[in-house]
Amino acid sequence: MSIVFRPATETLKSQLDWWLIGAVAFLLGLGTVAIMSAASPLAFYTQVLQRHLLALSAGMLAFMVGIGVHYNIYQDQHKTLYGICLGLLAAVLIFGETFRGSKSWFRFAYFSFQPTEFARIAVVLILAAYLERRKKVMDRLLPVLGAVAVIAPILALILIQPDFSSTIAFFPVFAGMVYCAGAPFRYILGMAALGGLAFSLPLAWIWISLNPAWTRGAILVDYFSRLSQFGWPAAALAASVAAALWLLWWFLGRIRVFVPAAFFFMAFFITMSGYGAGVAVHHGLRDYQRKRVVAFLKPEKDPKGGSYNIRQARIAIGAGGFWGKGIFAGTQSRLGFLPERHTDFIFAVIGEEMGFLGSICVLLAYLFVVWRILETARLARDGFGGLVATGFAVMYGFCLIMNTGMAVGLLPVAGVPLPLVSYGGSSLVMSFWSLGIVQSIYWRRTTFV
Amino acid sequence: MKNHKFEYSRLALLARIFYVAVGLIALKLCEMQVIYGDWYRRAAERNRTQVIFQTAPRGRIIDRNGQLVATNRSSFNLIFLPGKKTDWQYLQKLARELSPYLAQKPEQILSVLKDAHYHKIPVRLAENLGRQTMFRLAELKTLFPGVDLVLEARRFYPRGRFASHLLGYMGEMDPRHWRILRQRGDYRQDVRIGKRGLEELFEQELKGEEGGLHLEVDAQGRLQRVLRTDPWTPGNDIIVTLDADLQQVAEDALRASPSGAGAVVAMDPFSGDILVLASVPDYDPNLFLQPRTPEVQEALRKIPEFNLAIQGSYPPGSIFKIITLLAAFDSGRASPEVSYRCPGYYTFGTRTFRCWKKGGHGALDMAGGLVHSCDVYFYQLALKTGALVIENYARQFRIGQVTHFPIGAESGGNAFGPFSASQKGQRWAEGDTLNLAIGQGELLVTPMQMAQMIAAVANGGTLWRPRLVRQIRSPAGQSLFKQRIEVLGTVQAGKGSWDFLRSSLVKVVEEGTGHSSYIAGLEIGGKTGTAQNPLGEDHAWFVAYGGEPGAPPKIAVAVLVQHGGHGSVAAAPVARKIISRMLSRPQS
Repeated sequence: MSIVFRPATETLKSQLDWWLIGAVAFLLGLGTVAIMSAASPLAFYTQVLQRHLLALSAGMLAFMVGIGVHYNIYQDQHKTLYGICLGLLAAVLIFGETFRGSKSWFRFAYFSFQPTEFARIAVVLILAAYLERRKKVMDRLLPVLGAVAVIAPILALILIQPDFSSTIAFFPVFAGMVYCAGAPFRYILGMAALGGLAFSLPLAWIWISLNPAWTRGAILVDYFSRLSQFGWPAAALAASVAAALWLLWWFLGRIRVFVPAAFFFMAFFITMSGYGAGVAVHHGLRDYQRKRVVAFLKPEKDPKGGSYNIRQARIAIGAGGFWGKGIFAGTQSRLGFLPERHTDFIFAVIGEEMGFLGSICVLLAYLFVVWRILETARLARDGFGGLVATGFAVMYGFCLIMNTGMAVGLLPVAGVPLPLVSYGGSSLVMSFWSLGIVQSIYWRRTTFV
Repeated sequence: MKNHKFEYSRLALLARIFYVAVGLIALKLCEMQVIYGDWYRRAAERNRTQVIFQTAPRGRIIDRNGQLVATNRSSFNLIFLPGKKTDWQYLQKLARELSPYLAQKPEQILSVLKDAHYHKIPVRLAENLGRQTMFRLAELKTLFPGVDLVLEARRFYPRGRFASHLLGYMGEMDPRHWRILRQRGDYRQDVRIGKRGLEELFEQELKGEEGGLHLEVDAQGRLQRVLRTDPWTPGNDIIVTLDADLQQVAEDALRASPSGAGAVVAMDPFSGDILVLASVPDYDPNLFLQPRTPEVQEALRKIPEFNLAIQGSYPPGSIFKIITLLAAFDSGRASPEVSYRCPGYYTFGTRTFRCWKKGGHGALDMAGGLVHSCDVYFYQLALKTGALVIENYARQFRIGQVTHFPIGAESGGNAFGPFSASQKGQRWAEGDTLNLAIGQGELLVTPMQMAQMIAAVANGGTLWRPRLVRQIRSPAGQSLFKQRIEVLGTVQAGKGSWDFLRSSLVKVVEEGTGHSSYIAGLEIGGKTGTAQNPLGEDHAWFVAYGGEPGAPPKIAVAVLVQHGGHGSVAAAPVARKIISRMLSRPQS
């Protein structure tokens, strides 16, 4: 590891990751064109365009700030950051505007601001600071549970809004950061099992409710579907899981395989809390979210209803062919068949108008961006910088996969926008800030400025 | 090397998971955009375009004088195509929604929809929609797949209840037709096709090519612009030999006749052109194009499709005496001067055959026998001539054979005589000869055959193939097809025989049984007939030809009035009206 000393003015220019900046500029340009194309038939087109350009310029500023500020300040001030984050999220619940059923916007004269977007970045910084301080003891359970406790209030505040889809990205970011901070894999596995139960149980219950014939005659299936309510079946489940685990422990003991009892307690805890979370999610699902799940599980059930969006998105992407239909020439997006076309389904607009070429370019540019952030994580001077970059890399990677995966129909519609490409002022500014932070880490990887 | 900050291998694992996921998405993109791109492109095109099909105007049917017999009117129609997602609730909702626009009760619409759904055939819910209704329905149809508006040229028969058995009608395809026609590629399941008559026979000529309006619509179904218009090509016109005026006169006269049922065939004796082919009871072919209200349904159930003129076979009765007389005269077996006395009956063996006139006619010669239609005279004439000779002449007149009229399942009647009997393995008794002489017994003929016969008498022995279609003409006026005139056969008889027969027939009209068809200043020859009907009132026959005196005849007519009683009372006045109309008209 060589340390090179150079004058500060020279280093800034030469040490910035110009490849990353180039890729981001490409994505922003493509995104702007796609937004213009998708929004131009809308009545509020000029408003969309103005806000987008405003956000772009504000974002440049945020990018500069992100580069200029030494990233270790976030580590020092993580408590302040935490306070600001909680304060904003609490304030939006009181003073915020309700839009599409969730109270998540501050409305100002010329623009509106979504604190959730700020929280997305802040959580990475806060978590990195927390994990960095405990990196020597990360193989224990307590710091991992502590990390859960750190982000739980933020998640809870967002879920109260309620904004379910914005919280989805938090889970892989959390898991990725904790894992990279050195937590044993089994903890991640346990968390994944818990999260998996929480998401898969509601899916299974909805799946069964779509096929009512299955519950007839099949006692197990019927019993399983009744577990979606707390009550005697749930108690019976708890008892039977405990009994099964005890039997397993006893059997292993008989064949002289000694496993600490803690593992079984943990297994019981994970199963039951996963189940509890699953029931909570099942009842917390809003009508439109349930429809989306139905549309994903059984698209033929109602082609004009829930699955309409996803079908139209797939048609748009496929119809683009290799070369695309040409910019401003996509019929799916411009005639309104494609929903949410300048936000969640912007990728479908690109797919239709710029074809396979355009969408592959977006994928590659994004891949490149994530790769550069991962490189930054690898090269970072300290653990904090590495963890922050890891968090951002996971966040962007996850958003890319969720968004494009849902557009091509591989994943259910979750309402995850594609940062840097989708329309959305707050998201854009905050993404710029996060990339600025990444640049700050990259720039300071070898020097002490 | 173990990184001093955190384990790099863990970061690399995350990166690998990410790369694999992106790779999967890229593969999926490749599948959708490169491999199945065309499929999705078509889906997108289907999304944004709606095609309003426009049925082309069918070719017109025009009579010999240029009068329109069948033409078209344009109308906006609401159609319903039972599709993938039509269930009970959907139909109910649709019926409720449509009810105010169509001014019908929901139950009424629902029953039509149910029928369509059950039989899987498209129906027209409403035709001839007003402009206002049409625009409101155009919005509605985006909500209800399967409901569609089409501009169609609708078949229209300006004369209504007119020549219906000849024209046929337009009807919906049944599944049997659809199975055949769908392979042609130029039919849609909801178009109407010609059924029966000329409409069916010349379906391919009349059809034309449908046009289409390709519209770009947005997701809400709002019209953006017209992408392209495929113009329709009207079908080819068919010019028939029919004379619409005469046809009308004939139909009116038949309706006014005592029983109101019967048939008229009129022919040009020198070409075989069918001038009139009327069969009553008939129907209004426009009825098939009206919305299926219960009243219309009821009317359609009772459509009389039986064409008496070519499908109805009756004993010819006394009009067969024309053939008996010709046979006797031309074969030389009997002289016209030979006279027999008619006491009102004739005893043959142990049986007594009666004349229609109880008191008898007294002594008659051959012409007198025909003029008074004396049965006793013809009994004796036939015995003198011989049944085989009479049958031979009847065969030359093609009794028992179809006339090859192109429309409808034609009946050939039934030949009767010693030869036919021997073919059927039956015995021929001499008493049968007496029945044959006056056109009774097992002899059966159709009005078309009788028209052919009287035309042959008028032209001196030529039997024409009845010609109905003269020409097929493209919309631009170009002749595509011309039907030649065809001779089916000739009756071998001397000119003197024909002259004698014709002069006798003229006498029948001037002073005999056919006097009710007499028109001063015209030369009309005819013969009445009364076909005995064991089941009820006798059928009345009259065959005649007419023309200017000294000139060749212009028209040959055969009239049958079902259950009309005596031919001179019921049938002859009908023929008179037709001939007088034909010949009193200023000649072009």
